[in-house]
Amino acid sequence: MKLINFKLVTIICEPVLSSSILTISEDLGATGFTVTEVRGQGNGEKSSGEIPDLKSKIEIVAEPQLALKIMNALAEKFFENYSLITYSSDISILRPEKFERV
Amino acid sequence: MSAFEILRTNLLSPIVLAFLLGVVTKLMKSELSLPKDLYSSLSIYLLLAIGLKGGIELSESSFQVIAWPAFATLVLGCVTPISAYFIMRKLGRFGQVDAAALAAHYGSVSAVTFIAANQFVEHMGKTAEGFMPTLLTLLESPGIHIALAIGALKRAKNNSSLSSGDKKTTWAIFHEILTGRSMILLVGGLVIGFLMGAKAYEPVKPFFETGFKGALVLFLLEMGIVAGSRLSDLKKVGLPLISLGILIPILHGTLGVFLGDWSGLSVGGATVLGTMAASASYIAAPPAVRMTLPEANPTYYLTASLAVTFPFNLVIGIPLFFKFAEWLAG
Repeated sequence: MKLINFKLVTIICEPVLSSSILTISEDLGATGFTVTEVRGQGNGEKSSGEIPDLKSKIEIVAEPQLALKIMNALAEKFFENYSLITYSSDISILRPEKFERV
Repeated sequence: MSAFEILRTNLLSPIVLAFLLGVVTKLMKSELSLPKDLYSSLSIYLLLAIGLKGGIELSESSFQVIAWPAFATLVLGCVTPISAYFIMRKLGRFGQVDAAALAAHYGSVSAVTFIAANQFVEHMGKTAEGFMPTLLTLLESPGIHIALAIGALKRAKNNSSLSSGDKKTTWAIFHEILTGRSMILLVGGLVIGFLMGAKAYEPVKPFFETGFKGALVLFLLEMGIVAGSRLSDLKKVGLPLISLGILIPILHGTLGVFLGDWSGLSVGGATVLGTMAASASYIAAPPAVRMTLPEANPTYYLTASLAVTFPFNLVIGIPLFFKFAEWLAG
């Protein structure tokens, strides 16, 4: 099998945002996601929740155009008022068809 | 018993001491904290236990006995978010959105404060009515909805009309409050308890009652740590919010005790209803507020409810409302 270049979009955010982020990325065409509970602190002043440094880390495998679309959508909706960062990295995957919406 | 003795008894109760230990632990910058999963498990256990017990008591109460206290509770649920909003606006000089966010917290109720008040009146020999958990569920959600509605209306006025996205969020919030862990466990427990009755409860009773007070002590230890970690934010929120975080519970608590007494509750019941009205939610309200009023500063509402109002009610508020309830009852 051949390795294909893809993007891994990572989002670290307040846990309260997780479900809306997953809905948005699914609506845009993402086929899956991984969520982990992490702890950390950025330079944002606004932390919510009982445990202030608890964050969600969401990872989404997507082809480059979709990755950018997701990141832009999240930036537009959440950057202003919420604690959220997002970045993408280059990854290589097998079976690109697995990440396509049928 | 004199006011001083009541205060002293409360201060030396296991739950208050455990809470203070948590705060001190945090001030000493100790690494101690309960594992998050244990904290969640304890809250599930406590909420389900009071739901079950409340449901059984409910199955043995008549409608006439509950009707007036339930009405008084609904009145409180509608009045407290509005009074909190105006106090925050006029006295606190907070913006509309921040005031609405704070009002959602003060309009709703903290289940742990409720449990602490029940324990206190029981210790004083004035056990509250068994159907109090039913009133707790009645008081939990109207306050949040009313305050969020105020906030959403003010926002809509400022930036044209509500968009369709906002409407969608309103439904999402409604869903979230109804399906939040405290509502599911309390309402679910009430229904299960009501349906099964005292006899069927016997086999599971030891698990839910023997360990209850111990679990509460552990839970309060973690609450102390959580509140302690918010203490540094007190400087950020400033003196006005700290004072209002004490003034509002006194006002709402007094009103709650008064309405409790008026609706025919015992001294214990009126104390618990007053404490419920005085308490500020810190589980159900914050996520709902965060999603609906994103511009509101979470530092304000979380610090006020966790680091000011919760400790105030736990240490001073509950004995104060008890004394007032005793005085009203003559």
